[in-house]
Amino acid sequence: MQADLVERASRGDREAFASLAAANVDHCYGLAYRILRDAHRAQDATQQALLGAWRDLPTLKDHERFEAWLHRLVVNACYAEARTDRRWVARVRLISTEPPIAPDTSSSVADRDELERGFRRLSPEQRAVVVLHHHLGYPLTEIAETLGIPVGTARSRLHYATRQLRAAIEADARPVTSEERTA
Amino acid sequence: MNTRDSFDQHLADWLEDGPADAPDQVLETILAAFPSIPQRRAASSVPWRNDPMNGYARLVAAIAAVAAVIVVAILIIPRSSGPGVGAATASPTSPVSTAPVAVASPSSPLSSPTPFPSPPPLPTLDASFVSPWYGYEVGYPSGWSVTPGAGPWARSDGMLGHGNARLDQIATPSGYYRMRLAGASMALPAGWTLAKFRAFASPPDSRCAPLIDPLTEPVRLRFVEPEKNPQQVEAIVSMNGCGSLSDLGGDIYDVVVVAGGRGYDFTLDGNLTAADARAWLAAITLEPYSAPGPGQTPDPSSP
Repeated sequence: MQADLVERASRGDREAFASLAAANVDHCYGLAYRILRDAHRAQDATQQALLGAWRDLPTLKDHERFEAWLHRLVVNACYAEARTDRRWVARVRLISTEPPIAPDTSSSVADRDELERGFRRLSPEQRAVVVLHHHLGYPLTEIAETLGIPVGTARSRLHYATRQLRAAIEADARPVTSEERTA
Repeated sequence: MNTRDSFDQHLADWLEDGPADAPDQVLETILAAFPSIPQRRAASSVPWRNDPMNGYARLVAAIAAVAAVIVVAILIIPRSSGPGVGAATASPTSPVSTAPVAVASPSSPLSSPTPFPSPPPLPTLDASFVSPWYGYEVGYPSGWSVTPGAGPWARSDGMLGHGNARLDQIATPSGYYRMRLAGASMALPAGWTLAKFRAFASPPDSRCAPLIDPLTEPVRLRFVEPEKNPQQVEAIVSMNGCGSLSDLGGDIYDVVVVAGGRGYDFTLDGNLTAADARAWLAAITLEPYSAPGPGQTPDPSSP
């Protein structure tokens, strides 16, 4: 069904593309939100990706790969969103004013806050790999193909992102005094 | 405390908690905007023939092919007598060679029309913006939004990305087909060449396409100094990064140039053709002497 819509939309059928957009917008937004962790920027990235999909659809040779191709557009749009003000935020000195959080063995709210903070410290490229792997369940080969990067690069990003997240969670249990970089 | 598996599961659970549905206005915006966007032409839109051609069809095709070769030869031979054998020519696969010429540009070779509609052309540049911090002047269409940058641009700032408040920005105020010019400059340390400034101000973006030259003719910007005749300085123009990185859509032209000891970086992006880019760049005048020096602020009496 979707392949038929892709085929028609790639030939300029607007009705088909409208159906494709309606069928994929939630998924795209969910992906963008999980990478950017910001609702407004996720909306912008979703719109950018789907408008780019309409424009570039005639260049997609394998219509069966539409979903992966769309994921790539979403991820690239997220990179663009993150790049828009990354250089501003990167120079902001963050000094925690919150008291240190004791490790929460019940893995509840505190753990989630720690994950949120740790995730925000990852680069957009690392976030994308984490979301594709842990949320969409993509294997590394699929991630590499979707993002257009070598498998080794995907593996490396996932490894270091996971390590950073673990380290961040452990570090958040201690007082934060150093300059941190966020994306 | 946690095993690797439990950490991964915890991470997956946390990611799962995000929103499931996009706000309604996201789809509404997409559905309102996409019909006005022209689709790119497929690399190969003509399907391969499955049915064999008969003899008559082969004969007609052969005659047509020979005629096409003759026509092409007639068109090419007079041109090739100028620069001589081996002279550089525009690549037929240049990404901008398919863009229709929207603004008259006598020096532009980019004139092949396309069968699909193009964005509206760059309007007449009937207003003028004098950069308070960066020592240049540029024409722009009256009514467009102008945001002077919060300069100066220091080396410690590094490259200025899209949306950076230090950049002067001139953009179409509304509509889907928007264009934007952003610019800034800095006094260069001794010994900095154009190549070094370019590496600093506009490093290659490896995530998308490799750097390519989108304009097949050299781009020179007008450069004036007090008590001297106006000069032309050559710029490096590249299409740095893929179109989807531009929040206006379309292409991203990066332009770097050095004049009078300053390095200038201009970015043109949005739905503009190569001819639009050329026309807008031709409306820039570099006036490095007018930029405030270190520790100075812009002259409030300047226009």
